[in-house]
Amino acid sequence: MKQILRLTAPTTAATTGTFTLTDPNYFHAGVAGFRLPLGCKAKLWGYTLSGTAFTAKMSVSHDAGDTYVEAARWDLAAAGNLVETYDGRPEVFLESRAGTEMFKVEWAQSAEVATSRITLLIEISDED
Amino acid sequence: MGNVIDKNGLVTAGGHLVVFNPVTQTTRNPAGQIVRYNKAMVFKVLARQNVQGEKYTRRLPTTESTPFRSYDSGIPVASAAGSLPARAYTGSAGVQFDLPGTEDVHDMWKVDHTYYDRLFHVITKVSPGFVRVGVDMPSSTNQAKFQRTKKMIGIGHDFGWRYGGTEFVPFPEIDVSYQFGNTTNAELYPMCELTYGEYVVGIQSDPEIVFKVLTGREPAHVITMPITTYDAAISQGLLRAYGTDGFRVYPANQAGAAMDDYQREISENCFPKVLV
Repeated sequence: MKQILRLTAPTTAATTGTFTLTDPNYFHAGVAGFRLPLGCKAKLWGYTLSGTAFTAKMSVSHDAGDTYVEAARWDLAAAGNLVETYDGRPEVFLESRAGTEMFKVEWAQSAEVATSRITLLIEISDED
Repeated sequence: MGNVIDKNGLVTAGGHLVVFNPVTQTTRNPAGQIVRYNKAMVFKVLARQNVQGEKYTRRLPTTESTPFRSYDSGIPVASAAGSLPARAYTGSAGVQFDLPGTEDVHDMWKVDHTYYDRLFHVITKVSPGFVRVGVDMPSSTNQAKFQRTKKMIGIGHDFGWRYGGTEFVPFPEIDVSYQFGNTTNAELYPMCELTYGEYVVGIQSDPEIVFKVLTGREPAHVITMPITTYDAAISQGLLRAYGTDGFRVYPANQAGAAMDDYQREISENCFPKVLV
């Protein structure tokens, strides 16, 4: 089983916050942190940061969201688009062994404006 | 066994479809020894109806009132028709795809014994693919078990299900229900792609061909019933529709005994109208 999710979310009018990630094709509602299905791996195929400047921080949890550790940080230094793709070499950033693994993405920006957005291309797979 | 299926996984006209019963039964041989064996239904597909369009894409057959069980605690509720709540799986009765205008409007695959000449072959693919999928045959009966029937597994457990889809044959007279599970914390809005064959079928009436099919010498598509216990609802349903609940599977070196048995099954038990 391989499933590509296109998780996307806007910033809100706050200087910091957690993205409410959603895939409009498959999610009925977004979530602040996504819990992996048991036995699956999450692979990052790419990301897009767009809008005004902000920093995005991805964190992972192994205890159903009680504690998180930082896994990646991306910086949109100026207004515009920051696009990165890992074609053919996606990065496994989280593997579900207990069914309690989660990831979330937070933002930080200098002004309280809702003018930016993040999009993550993430593969959820139970294969290598 | 050989390839008799098309690119969509459906059996081509003229091919054989075997539905294998994995529940091993026992009997005594003429010497009084206990012999274990399995049975299988052997169908010849004469034709396929609506062969130009055998896909049906629709939402999950859930509503705001569909009962769900939780992987954690509490009673999950779907926020909208078609959704699958977070950390939830369907109730013990499962769910079925309704379809107005059909024999049973609550279950599009359910037909009675008068449909002995038709057989559905259903390949269900669910997106996102990390939705757990199971099939209960008969409905409301969890047949997923481990170490014979020692331990119950299945959709509500760590194993005993598949991610993203399933393939099965719903027989006339036998209720079947789906189970769906979502262990993520997001309420999902899944899509279900149903690839189905409405086969015009009959039970193979030539004992030699039955033997060749069941020993792999004649190509056939084999599907195993999703069961671990041979519920009476299944055996009685097969008997009402076909007069038989299958041919005994013999070893390849027992051709004579097998064909005698098959001839007896065909002439004494199978309804003549079901034979081809």
